[in-house]
Amino acid sequence: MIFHLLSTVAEVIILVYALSLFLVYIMLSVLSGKELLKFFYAEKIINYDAILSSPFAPTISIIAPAFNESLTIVENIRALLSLYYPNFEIIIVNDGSKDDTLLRAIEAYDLEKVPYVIDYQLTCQEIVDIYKSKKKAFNNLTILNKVNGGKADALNAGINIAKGQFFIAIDVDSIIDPYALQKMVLPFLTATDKRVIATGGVIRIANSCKIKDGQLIEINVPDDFLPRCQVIEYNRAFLLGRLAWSRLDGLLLISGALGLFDKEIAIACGGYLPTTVGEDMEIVVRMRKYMANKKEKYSVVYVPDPLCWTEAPSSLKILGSQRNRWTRGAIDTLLMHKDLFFNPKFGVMGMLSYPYWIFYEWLAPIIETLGILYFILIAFFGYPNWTFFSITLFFVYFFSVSFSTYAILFDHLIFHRYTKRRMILKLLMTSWLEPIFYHPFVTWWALRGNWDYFIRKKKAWGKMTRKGFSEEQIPAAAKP
Amino acid sequence: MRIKFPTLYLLFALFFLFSGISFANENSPKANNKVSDALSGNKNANSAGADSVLISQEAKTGRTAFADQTDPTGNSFTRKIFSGLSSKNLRKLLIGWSNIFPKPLRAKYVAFVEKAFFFPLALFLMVVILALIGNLLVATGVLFLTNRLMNFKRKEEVRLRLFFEKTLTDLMLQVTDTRETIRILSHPYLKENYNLLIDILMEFQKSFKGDADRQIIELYQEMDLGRISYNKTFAIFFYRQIQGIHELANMHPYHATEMIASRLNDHDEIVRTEAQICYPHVNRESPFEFLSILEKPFSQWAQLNIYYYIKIHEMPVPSFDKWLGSRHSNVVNFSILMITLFQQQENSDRVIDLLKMPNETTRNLAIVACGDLHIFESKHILKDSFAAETAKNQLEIARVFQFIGDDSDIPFLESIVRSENIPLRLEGCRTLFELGDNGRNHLEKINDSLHDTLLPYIDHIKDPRN
Repeated sequence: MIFHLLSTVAEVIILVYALSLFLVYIMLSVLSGKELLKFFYAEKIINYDAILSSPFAPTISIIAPAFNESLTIVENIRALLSLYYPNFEIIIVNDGSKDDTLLRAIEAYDLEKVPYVIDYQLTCQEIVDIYKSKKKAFNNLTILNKVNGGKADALNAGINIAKGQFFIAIDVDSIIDPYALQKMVLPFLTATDKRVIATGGVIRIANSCKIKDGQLIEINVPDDFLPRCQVIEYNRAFLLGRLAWSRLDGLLLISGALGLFDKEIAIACGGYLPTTVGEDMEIVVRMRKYMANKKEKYSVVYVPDPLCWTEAPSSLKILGSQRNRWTRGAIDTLLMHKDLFFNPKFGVMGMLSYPYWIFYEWLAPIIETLGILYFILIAFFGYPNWTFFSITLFFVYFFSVSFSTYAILFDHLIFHRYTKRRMILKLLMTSWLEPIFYHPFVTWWALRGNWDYFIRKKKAWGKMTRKGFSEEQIPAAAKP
Repeated sequence: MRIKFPTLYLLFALFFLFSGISFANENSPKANNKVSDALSGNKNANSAGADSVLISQEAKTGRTAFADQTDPTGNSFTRKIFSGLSSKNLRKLLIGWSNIFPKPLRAKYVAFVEKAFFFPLALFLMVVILALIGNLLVATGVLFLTNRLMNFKRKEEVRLRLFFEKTLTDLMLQVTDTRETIRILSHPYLKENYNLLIDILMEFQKSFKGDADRQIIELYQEMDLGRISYNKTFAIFFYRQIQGIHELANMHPYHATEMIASRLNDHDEIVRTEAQICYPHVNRESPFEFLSILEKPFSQWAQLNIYYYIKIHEMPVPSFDKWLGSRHSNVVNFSILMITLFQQQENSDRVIDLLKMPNETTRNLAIVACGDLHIFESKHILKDSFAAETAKNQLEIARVFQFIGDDSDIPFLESIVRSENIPLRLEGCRTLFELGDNGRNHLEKINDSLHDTLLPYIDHIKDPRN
């Protein structure tokens, strides 16, 4: 009797959970589709030339923390210097690198120490030196050498010396689209009835792409399976998820690889929090809360254009470490801002976004695992209806594949970056394999993240090594 | 960077749900007892399995899934939800498909379908699965087809662009005359691509001046392309409307004046902004008149584009004092910026008045204007208002004294240098340093009195790169 009651309750809860998740996904997809169409058409009529020659263009400070980036630092700075924008400065924060990152930059760009008084508006580790170039061509380049303190600390240090009205936080090893600044600053300029406090751009996977002098010159689908799965995953996340949240004005996360922020608001709410590994999400939540508490109209906007290309982990170990950190970062932020939970004071953020993150981002892998365990229990003690099992399995599988296919389709119709038939075929095949061979790992890493956060109290970033964009990544066919 | 979008977490969550349901469905209520028994170690609980075999046999007799059946699951929540679903036809259809399977698998497939039809939820899911597969096939087909189409269109556009550009260059270089050009461009296939031709005509019009510019406009008008542009302004899609507005504004201004004026306060933000950007094109006598009739805020984007337009066309601008009293603060701010950029010294008095405006940004722009226009009369007001100003504006006041300050302002600047605020101190030092020898000497004196604590600040401001 008790078991019967419990199983009924479980059925009801999980049915509601599953149906609501389906519904949320479908709703987000529809909203994203509408937003993408609007973006697609708006892009046809926007004249970005006007920004390029305008004294009205706000100053943007690009802040790029660098830790042991000796191999790529020179190329990365060169790529940043070639961005198309009239009014920007580059601040490379050497966060106590143990290799010769600083030395290589000094040599390549003819840098020298300059006397500098620093106003520590945001707390950070000691800034040891400031370097600027002797050459006029690099007069917008500053290298800041500081004691190691982690990414958030490095960003705070960069903000402390930033002169721009806005700052853009990037990963130094990512490839930024040359037009990224003008596209990301646009929402700040077009808004009239509310203050835009941050914008984010779409991140794409650069594995197997052809890169020269820090510029992306040929786009390819990754050759390796893991990065290819991440292409699908990123497409789903950015094009079918975040865009819709942006439309709903409930975006809680702007990727740490590329985000443009209003410096005044970022400083007013205390800058990045160095004690969390989810600093990118945490600052957005805090900025939003700050504006909501001030009762000022604001928005956080997503630009669906692929503006940043990054190297995705191609080994299970590195990917696992990254996902583990993402999970810990999300939990940390969610627990830090518990007061948002169904709090109407914070509008969509409190009533929709935050509960969504709790139920469908944080708890989902836990519920999924409980489901597996329960199923094992049933299989062990009883006779599961395999027919029914197969049907539900196929149903969920095809739903997932459909979702991924639509993400590929949206990306294709709007951006048309993967132009060859074999590229599309590769992506489609990956979307069929991903739920079986990739997703279980993602769930496992999320669980490990929970375990590490609650039981091991782990706060460290974990190892994140990259191969770097070298000639090796140029596919044989693309080589001259 | 983080991607958290658990599309597939649902997978096992649903396993959980439906495995539970199926278990309950097949064995309930006895199944429940069976599990309880199993958990409690009762070895006599075997009847549930027998019942499930019985139910399967009933299904094999061909009885419609739920037509005459009492609810075998008793009280399953999900079963009750879906208990209305049934379809003889679909079952027949699916069984009919057994022929596509190899012989050894056919019997198993039929058994599978029969069993599936016994449960209404399974039936429902099977229908959805079929729909999803169909949907996937369609999406895949669309992907490949559109890829082909888009690649073709891209190539064709390059080809046509080259052709149009060559034809127009011939016209510019007088290799052909307008009549011949119209004849060439009137080919039926090219007519389908007049949108591209209009784009190229606009690009040419931006790049050329004088006779060439006139020829381009003439060609546009003689080919009656204005009609295409005009029709676009009534399109359903906002981007089409904007394209039409742009084209008319650039190529056929007189035709567009009224229409663009009517869109200045359009409910659609994008259309409104574009109409504002295009207005100076169509009303060159008084290009900024629209500022007086704006009902909604004037975006920075529109301001930026209008300035761009004025600059590339080297247009004369009116005195902007007229709009300094606008009820929209962003119109006032734009006017101050224009007064500053076009060095309209005659508006100095009005700019001084703006130093008392309640809007912080307006005051900030007015302070900047005082410096850039060298409005010496503003000094006293700036000094008096300094203490009450925001940190941002205090910094700006300290800075503008580089342009309007003299020796008499040294005491004021000294008070800034002696403040505790680092950016203010830096700006104060810089301004004193820029005032000339007297300022520099005074700076050294202050440094001495502060026991060299000002030295890093002086070093900082001495380096022009900071």
